[in-house]
Amino acid sequence: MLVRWTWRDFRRHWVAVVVIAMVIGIGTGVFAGLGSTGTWRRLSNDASFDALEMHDLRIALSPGTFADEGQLEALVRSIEHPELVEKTNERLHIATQVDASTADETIFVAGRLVGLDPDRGPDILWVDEGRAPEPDTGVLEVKFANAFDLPSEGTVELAGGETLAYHGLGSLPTDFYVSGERGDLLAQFNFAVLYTDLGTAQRLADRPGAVNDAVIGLVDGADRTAVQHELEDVLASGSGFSATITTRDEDEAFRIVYADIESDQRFWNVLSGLVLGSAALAAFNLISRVVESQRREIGVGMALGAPAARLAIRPLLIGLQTAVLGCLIGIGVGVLVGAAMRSLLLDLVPLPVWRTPFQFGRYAQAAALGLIVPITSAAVPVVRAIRVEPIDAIRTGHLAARRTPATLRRVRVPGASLNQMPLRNFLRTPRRTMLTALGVGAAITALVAVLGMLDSFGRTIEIGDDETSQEHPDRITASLDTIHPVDGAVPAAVREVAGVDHVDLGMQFPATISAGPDEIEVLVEAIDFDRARWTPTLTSGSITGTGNEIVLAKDAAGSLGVSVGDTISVTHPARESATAYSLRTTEVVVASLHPNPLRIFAYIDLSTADRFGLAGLTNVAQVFPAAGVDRAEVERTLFEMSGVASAQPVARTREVFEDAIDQFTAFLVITEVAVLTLASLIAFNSTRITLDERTREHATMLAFGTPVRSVLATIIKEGVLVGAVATVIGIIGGYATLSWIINVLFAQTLPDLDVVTYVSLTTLSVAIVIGLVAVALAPVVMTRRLTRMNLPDTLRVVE
Amino acid sequence: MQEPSIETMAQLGADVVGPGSVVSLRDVSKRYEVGETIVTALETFDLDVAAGTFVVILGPSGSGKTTLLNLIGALDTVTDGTVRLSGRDVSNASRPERAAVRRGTVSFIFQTFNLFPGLTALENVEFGADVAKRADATTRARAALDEVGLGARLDHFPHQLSGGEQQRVAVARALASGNPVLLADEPTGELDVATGKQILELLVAYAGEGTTVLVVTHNREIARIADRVIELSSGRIVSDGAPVGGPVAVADLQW
Repeated sequence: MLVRWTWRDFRRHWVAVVVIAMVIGIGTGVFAGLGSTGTWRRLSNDASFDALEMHDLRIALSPGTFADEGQLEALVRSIEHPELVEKTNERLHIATQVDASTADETIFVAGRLVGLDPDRGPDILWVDEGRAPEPDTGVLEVKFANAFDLPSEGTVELAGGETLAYHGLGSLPTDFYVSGERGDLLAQFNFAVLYTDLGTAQRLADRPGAVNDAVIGLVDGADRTAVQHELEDVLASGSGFSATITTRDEDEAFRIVYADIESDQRFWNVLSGLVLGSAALAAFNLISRVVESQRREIGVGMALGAPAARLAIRPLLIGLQTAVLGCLIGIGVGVLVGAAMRSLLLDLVPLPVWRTPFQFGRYAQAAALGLIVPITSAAVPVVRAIRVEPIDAIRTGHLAARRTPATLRRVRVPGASLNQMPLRNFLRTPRRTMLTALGVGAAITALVAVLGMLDSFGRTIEIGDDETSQEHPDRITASLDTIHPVDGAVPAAVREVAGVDHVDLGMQFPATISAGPDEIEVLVEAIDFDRARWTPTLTSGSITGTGNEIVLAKDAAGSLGVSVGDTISVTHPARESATAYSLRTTEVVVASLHPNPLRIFAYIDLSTADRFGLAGLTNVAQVFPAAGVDRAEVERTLFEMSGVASAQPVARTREVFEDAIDQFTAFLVITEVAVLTLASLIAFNSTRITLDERTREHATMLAFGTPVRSVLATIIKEGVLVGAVATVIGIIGGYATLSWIINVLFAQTLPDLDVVTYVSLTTLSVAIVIGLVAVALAPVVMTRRLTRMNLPDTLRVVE
Repeated sequence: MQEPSIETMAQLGADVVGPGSVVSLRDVSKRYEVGETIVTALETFDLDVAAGTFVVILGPSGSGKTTLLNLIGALDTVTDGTVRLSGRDVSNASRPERAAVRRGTVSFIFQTFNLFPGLTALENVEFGADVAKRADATTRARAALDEVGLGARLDHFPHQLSGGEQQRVAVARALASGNPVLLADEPTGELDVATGKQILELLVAYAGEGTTVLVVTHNREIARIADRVIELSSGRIVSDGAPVGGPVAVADLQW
C-alpha cells in the first residue's frame, strides 16, 4: 500500500518533484562540471609536459653572452656525475620585434626567436597545426596566433627587416605560459615567440654557431637539485660563462600553469559553491513546502494512533524521489557543463595532450549533497509535525501566522482589502518567505558575482586606460634596444620620425622596492615631471624635485604598507662606467601615488634619476604623433628603425586585457546560463507551490466575483515583494562575494593588478530583471490554472 | 429531532414560477463525465425563488443539492436548460460574465468559512463590499460586524477567532456585499449547536431584510425555520414547500 500511496504522491506532486529535482540537478551538476576542470587541467599538463619531455634543468646564459655550439653540452658533461644526465639540447634565444600585421590589423609586438632542434628532447617542440620548422621556416607560438586570429601559415617580419615564413602553430613546454622578456602582464596575448631550427635562428640573429641556452634531461630518479649544484660549481670554477641554472620546478611556465590551475579552481569552486548553495536553499524551501502540505495527514495519522516512524516514511519518500531524480539530472547537467568547459578549454588553452576523464569523486560529492539536501528538507517538516500534538499538526495554517509580530501583521497599505493581501501574505509566513527569497537571492548572488567580475575587470581596464592615455590616446611607447645617451643618434632619429609631434625621452629599468620585510618588483620610469607631455596623475602629494622621490601605484604602496611621506628602499641598476652597471639600493621618499591599477609602474623625476646614477641616459621614448597622422604609420616607421626594440601604442594594453577578458567571459557564460535557469526554476516552482497553498483563498476571491486579473495581480504583487527582498539579498550578497573574490582571491592570484570592485548598472539591471521581474511574472505562467480552476471543488475541499 | 413536515407549493397554492423570481431554473440538467460513466447530478429541473425568501435545500449525499447551489451561484454551467439570476441568463455564460454576475448578485457562506488568513476581521468583511463595488466599504464592514456582534473584534485575524466567530465574519462579509442572493453551504456544519443557532438567527434576519437566502444542509432540523424547503433525491425535487405550520423561531430548534 505504501508503494501505491507513494506513487500517487508522486503523481500528485510530479511537477514540483521534477522542478525541484532540476534545481538540485543544476546545483550539483554545475558543482561537478566546474569542479572537474582543475583535475583535467592538472592531468593534461602533466601528460603534456611528459609528452614533450619537459626539461629537468636549464642553463640560461646572462643577457648578451653567448657560447659556441657544443660548449654548453661539454660543460654539462664536465660535472661530477655526468652519468646522471641523459640528454642536453642547446638552443639560441634572441629577443626581437615581430611585425605580424594582417590586412585588417597592425600587429607590432615584442617577441623572441628560438633556434632549436625541434625533434629532440628535452623540450620537444609541439606543433599543433602545420609542420615542424625546416631551414628558413618557423613555427609561431599558438596562443599568440590565436589571440590575433592569425592563420597557421604566413610570414612575419623581425627586427632588422628580416622576414620569416612560418608553416605551423605550436609551443615549447616552457611557453605554455608566455611571460615575455620583462615579465609583461598578459604577455601570452601580446608577445610573439617564433621557433625555427638552430641554423636559421643563428643566421637571422647574425650569430653563426652561437647558443645561449641549454635544457637538460636527467636519468630517472636523479636528484635535480644535486645536479643543479654540480653545474653551478662547474660554472663558478672558471668556465668563463655567467649563467642561471634553474630546475623544472623553478621554471616560470611550469610553476605558473599549475598555480594558475589552483587559483582558477578556487574561483570555480566559489562560483559552483554559490550555485549549489542557492540550489540547496531553494530545494530545502520547496520540498519543505510540498511536505508541509501533508502535515495535516500526519496529524490525522497520529490522532489515529499510527506510529510516528511509519507516518514519516511517505513524506520522506517524496524527498527521496526528488533526491534520486535530482542526482540523475545532476549527472546530466554535470556532463553538459563539463562538455562545455572541456570544449572551451580545448579551444582556449592549447595543449598537446588533453585528459578529461569523468570525475567520479567530484560527482560523488555532488551526489551526496544532492541526496542529503532533499531528504533533510523533507525530514524537517515531518519532525516538526510529529513532535507536536496531533491537533496542532492538523491545524496547519494557524501556526505559521503567529511568528510575525502583531504590529507588522497589521501594516496597512493604501487601497482596498485586496491591496492588503500581498503584504499580509508576505508577512504572515516570514520563515517560508525568507527561504524563498534566500533561494532566489543566492542565485542572484552568483549572477552578480560572475557579472560583477567582468564589470570589475572592465572598470579596472578603464581606469588604467584613462591613466595611460589621459589626453593622448595615440601615444606610442618606443623601447630602445639598449641604453643610449639622451643626445645620442638613436634618440635623435626617433625625434626626426615623420609625423611625430613630440618626443619625451625617459629611462625605464626594473627595480625592487621594499619597506621592512615586504618587497615588490616594479618597472621604474624616469620622467621629466616639469616638461614631459605625459606624466602620471598624482592623486596625493607632489614631486618637489628634492632628488629622492618616487611615485608608486596606490596598490603598491598598500602592499608595502607605506603612504605618502614614508621612506622605502629601491634596489636598482646604477651606472658604474660607460658600459658597466651594478645593483645599488637607494632610500627614497614616497612623494605621491598614481591611480594605475598595474602596480608594476613606478615613476621618478629626472632629479632622482641623477641620484640613481642614471642621468643623461634613455632607453624609452614616449612618442606623440602629430594631429591627423596615422598612428600605425608612425608605429611602422619606429619599428623599422635601427635602435628601436619595440613600438607599442599605450592603447594596446587595453586591447590585450579585453582579449583576455573575452576568453574569461566565454567560461563565465556557462555559469551565467546555469544561474539564470536556476533562478527561473526557483521562481516558477515557488509560485506554483504558493498557488497550491493559497488555492482556496483564490477560489474564494473568484467565487465572490473577483476578476482573474485582480487575483493574478495580488499574486504578482506578492511575487514582487519576495523578488525585491531576493534582489536586495542577491545584490548585497553578490557584492560581498565579489569583494571577497577580488580582495582575497585575486590579491593572491593576481597581485600585480589592483582590480577595483565594481558592479555596473547593466549587472544591477540584470539582477533586478531576474529577481524582480522573473519572480513577479512567474505567476503569469499560471494564469491558465486560475482561469480553469474548478471553483466548486476547490471551495469544498477540506484541508 | 423533530422531522419537518413539508407541504408542496401546489398545496399552498403559491405561484412560485413567475417573472419576479430572483432565481429561476428551467429544464436544467447537469451531467458529469466520471471516466467513461455519465453521472446525472440534476435532471430536468425547474425552480423559481422569490426575493426575500429563506430557502433550505435538503437531501442525502449525491442528491444534487451542491450542484444546484453551484448553478444558482453561477459557479458552474448547465448541460441543458436555463438559469437566470436577477433576470440574467447565466446558463452557459463565460467565466468572466459569470464572475461579473456573482459580483453584483451573489454572496457565499462556506462550511469551512474560507476567510483570508492574512486579513483582519474588518478587512475580510471589507473584501465583500469591495468586490461588489459598494461605496464606503469600511463603514459597511464595520456596520456588518456590529450587526453580527463582532464590533469589538475588528482587528482580530481569523486564527484569533473561534469557529463561530469566524463564521459570523463570513456572514458579515456576505452582508457587506449587499448582494440580493446569499448562498450558504452547510453554514453550521463545523459549529456547535449554540453557535450554529447564532448563525441561523443572522441568516433569518438577513432574509427578513429582503435578501434571498438559500441554505444547503444535511440537517433537517434547520428546515423548520425556512420559508420554503426543497428536498432533493437523485437530482430531482421530491418535495417543495413550506414547513407544516410555517417557520418556527431559531430558538426552537434542537439538534
